[in-house]
Amino acid sequence: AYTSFVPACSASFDLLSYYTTMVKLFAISVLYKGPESARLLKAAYDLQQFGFFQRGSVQEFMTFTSKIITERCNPCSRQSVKEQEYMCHVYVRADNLAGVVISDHEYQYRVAHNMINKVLDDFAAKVPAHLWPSTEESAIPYSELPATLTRWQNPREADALTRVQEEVEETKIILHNTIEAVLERGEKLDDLVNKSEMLSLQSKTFYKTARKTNSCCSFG
Amino acid sequence: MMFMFQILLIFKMKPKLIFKVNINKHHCRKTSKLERTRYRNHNKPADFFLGFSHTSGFPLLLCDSFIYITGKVSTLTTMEDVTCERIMKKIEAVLSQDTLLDEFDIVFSLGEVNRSPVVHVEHKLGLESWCVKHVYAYAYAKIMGSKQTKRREDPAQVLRWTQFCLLIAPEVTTFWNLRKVLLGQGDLSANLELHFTRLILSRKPKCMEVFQHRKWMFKNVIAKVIPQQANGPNGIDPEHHNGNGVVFHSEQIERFLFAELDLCTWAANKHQNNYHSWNHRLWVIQQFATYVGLVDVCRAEYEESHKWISVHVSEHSGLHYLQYLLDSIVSLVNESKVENVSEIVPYVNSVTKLYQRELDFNRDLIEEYEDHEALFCHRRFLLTRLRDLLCSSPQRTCSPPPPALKRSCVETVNSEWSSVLLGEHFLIEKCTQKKTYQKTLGEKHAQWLNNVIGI
Repeated sequence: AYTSFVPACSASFDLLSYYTTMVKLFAISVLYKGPESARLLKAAYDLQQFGFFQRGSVQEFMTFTSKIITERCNPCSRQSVKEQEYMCHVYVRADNLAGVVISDHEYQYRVAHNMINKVLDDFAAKVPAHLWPSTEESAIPYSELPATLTRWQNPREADALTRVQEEVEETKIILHNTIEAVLERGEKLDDLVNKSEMLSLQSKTFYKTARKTNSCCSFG
Repeated sequence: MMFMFQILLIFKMKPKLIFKVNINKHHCRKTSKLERTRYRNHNKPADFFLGFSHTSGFPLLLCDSFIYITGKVSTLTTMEDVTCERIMKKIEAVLSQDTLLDEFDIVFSLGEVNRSPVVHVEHKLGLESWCVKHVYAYAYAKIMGSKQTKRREDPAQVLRWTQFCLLIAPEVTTFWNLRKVLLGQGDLSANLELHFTRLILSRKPKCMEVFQHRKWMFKNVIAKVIPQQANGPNGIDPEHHNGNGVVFHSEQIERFLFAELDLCTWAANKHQNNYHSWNHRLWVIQQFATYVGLVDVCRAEYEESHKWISVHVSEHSGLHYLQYLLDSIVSLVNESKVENVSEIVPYVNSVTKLYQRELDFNRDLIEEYEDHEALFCHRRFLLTRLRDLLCSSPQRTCSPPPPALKRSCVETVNSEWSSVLLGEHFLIEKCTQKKTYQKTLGEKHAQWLNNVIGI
């Protein structure tokens, strides 16, 4: 059963208003998982939390990660992968339509997966399936993602409308602690980054120099 | 060894212009083992790449894959002095003219296009990375040179050099100390310095030295009563700066301190578990206690911290701050500075009810956001406080009761305490039914209750 919070004093504990300024979700993308690789169909980003000059590289990386994760996720399975301070949630449907949400690690993964369900259902209803394998991103007739991303920043509001917990069973979500865990044997993330054509030289350098290791616990 | 790598220098580096920097040997000792260890543990590849030592600020020379600390005399491929000065002057100009500037970052660029490396767009300042290590090494050498010769340098120059070096390496206290001297002499305005430190935080929000500098400024520059200037007080904008040379009334100090709280929130949002910013916040509250008064600020901070915690459930620092606030509120009540808790926290009539309300809030977060240990740590704090409150009796001495008596504490009076413990049992049962980390957390909580509280 869904436990709703009943505050001792409703005057000061209005949780709904608390979430409106916090950015917890950074990206939502819809992809098509082809036989060789995953193809990005549509995406939306909320990068205001990142430094102005880093946003370009961060966006490239999110696209890159979404693609990598989709390619390594089997159809009809859900995964949540932790990568440094972020969580990447992916669901690939039986018809090879996939959704990826990138959030921080405090955003509940059940809610993220429910969001993916809703987005994919909506997308499939509005964009005919024959367009998925080969159409360019700009030609896909779907523009709801930015508004969806904003709405789901507040998981309470989105949850209340959709009754999350009955829909997605927790046990069906596979959790990984690092992105290395989803890569194939022998594959290294550094190599994938270097080989990637979608990452600019700036982003590759940003990756090499800005990786923090357990920096949340470091003193300086 | 030195000879070996000079040969390597010739083979590896492609010199464009070589000029010798006589870095005095006092400043270029070999790194100590401690420093090397700190290096490895800190793992700051970004600063290595930019060309300076993170811990000491020494400029390093990046020679393809070789990184080394210079010995006596170093050679660098670099640009001319004039270019370095020009870049630094440009940055200084941007900083002094754009009062809305709120971000600084180093932008990766190979510098192939012949243009200024200073990027100024939409109130954001960027510096292209290709020039950083050259200009930094130049400015560093100038600063150290002037310290060595003890010649009185033109303050504007020293300010410009330190300004640049601090944008790149704000961890180096030498640069800050030079600026402190100039602040004291009045060669630098507090306005600009506060704006500058905020800009540095935009790139490195967890920099301890920046917060320390702001504390120093408050104590030595701002909180001092300074005679009013002839042309009257300027409009004080507490978000960016506080006027220099104005008599500070407690109202203005209050506004400054509130602005400081905003800065702490901003820095805390930029980096997780940013305990330097949370420590700074604690210090600000202490200044409130000294200069202004705790009641109003505690009321506001209580609300704010609950809001913050609701969206950052796994941050120990934020919860620790709430603990400090709760202790402050309780001491205000105990010292009779307020009549009742309800003056600070509306609708709550007693300290016991305050803790119980906190426990409820905490439990709801635990149930909604699973697998976060920070919430349990906070819960243990609350239970300890509540136990001390409910189970203390006049006959007991200060020393903690022996374990046998601990049990009697539960049995004797307190139906309140018993109901609290019952609530804990329910919570633990719920947690242990889960299959995730939440189960482990529940079990640990049960263990703690058993060992510490004695049930």
